[in-house]
Amino acid sequence: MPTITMYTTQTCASCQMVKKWLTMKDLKWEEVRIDQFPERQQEAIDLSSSTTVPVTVIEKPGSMKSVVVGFKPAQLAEAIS
Amino acid sequence: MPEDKDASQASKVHDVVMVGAGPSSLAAAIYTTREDLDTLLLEKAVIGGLAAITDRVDNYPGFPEGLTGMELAQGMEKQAERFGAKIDFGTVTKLSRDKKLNLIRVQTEEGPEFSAKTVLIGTGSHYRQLDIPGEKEFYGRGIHFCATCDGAFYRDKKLVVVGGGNSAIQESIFLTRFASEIEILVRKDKLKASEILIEELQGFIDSGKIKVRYNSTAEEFLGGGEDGKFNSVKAKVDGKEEVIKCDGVFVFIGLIPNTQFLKGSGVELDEAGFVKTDLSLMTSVPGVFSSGDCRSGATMQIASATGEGATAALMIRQYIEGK
Repeated sequence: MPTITMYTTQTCASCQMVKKWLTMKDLKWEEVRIDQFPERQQEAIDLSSSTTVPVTVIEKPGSMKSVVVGFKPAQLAEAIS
Repeated sequence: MPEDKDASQASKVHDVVMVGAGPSSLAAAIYTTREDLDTLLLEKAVIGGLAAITDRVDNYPGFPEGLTGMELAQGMEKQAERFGAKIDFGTVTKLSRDKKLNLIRVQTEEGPEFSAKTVLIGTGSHYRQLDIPGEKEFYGRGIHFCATCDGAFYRDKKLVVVGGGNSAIQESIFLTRFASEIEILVRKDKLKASEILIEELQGFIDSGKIKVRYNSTAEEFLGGGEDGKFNSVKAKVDGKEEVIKCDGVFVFIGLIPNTQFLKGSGVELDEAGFVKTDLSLMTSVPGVFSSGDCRSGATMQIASATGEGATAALMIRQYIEGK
């Protein structure tokens, strides 16, 4: 099972779509609300080289960390496969 | 034997496949499912479309205090699902008509192809880009099109908003939650936004939080320093060039219909790319209907889109019954 961390804001509709997609795949995630914890914004910026959410970080044992910026089902599917 | 989902979907004939799951399709789905029509919605991005990323909706009837676009979209989604609508993620790349079987084939980027007696095109629209130097380079890292997604990155920072319509003003007001200072660049000498929004904006102008620059256009987005990060907008204000230092820019300068995938489908578009329909909201291809923001003549209002969705659903039922 991959470890998933998602950087979001409360008002972000694309973030809701990533959550819905992960739920459809029976996956769990840790959510970091950057509007609630601005001190963690820099983590999202460093991981994605962007100032946008959602940023989804997928780590599978023994493989590279994947970072998906935005709601991109094809990229998410590849990252969890 | 376990069901092969893709194979079963491919062989199944839906009563209606809706391309896009914005307010128009969701409203249509509430009606078609209540008529027991097998309804599948395919959405490539956000369920609820642009409405879902809008900070506040104050003009949708039935909500006297207003609500967030996301709340409205989620309510519509739940209501459609309550009656049996199936919503899947998928990017439709092609529509074609099987004249022999009198069906519409819906092809997706992800692989599965769907068959339907009817199709509703409710793909909505997306925000127009400025198409100026630096826009692509700094997209998502300085230049943005979604305030509710990316505004939180600009706490105590200076922002520029480009546009003078409802979206630009509404989202500028939303961005004051985070930004210390906002300059709005308006191309003309007045705002196009609704009076009620202009009145609300005035409060922020009076407090010095927002400044409106008329007769102003963004000409280029600039970066610099060791890291090459975005840091300013080259603008033309009253015909004079000016460099405005800022941390980010949000662009709301109008909408473009999401109809590019219809090329070669036989569905007729108008000169701006919107889908042409007749009075029954049927397109030039029999069995293919369209409603909402992507339809030629659309008023780009959520209430209009849901109304058109309901109309399209009734016309779809009539078409199927008359088949």
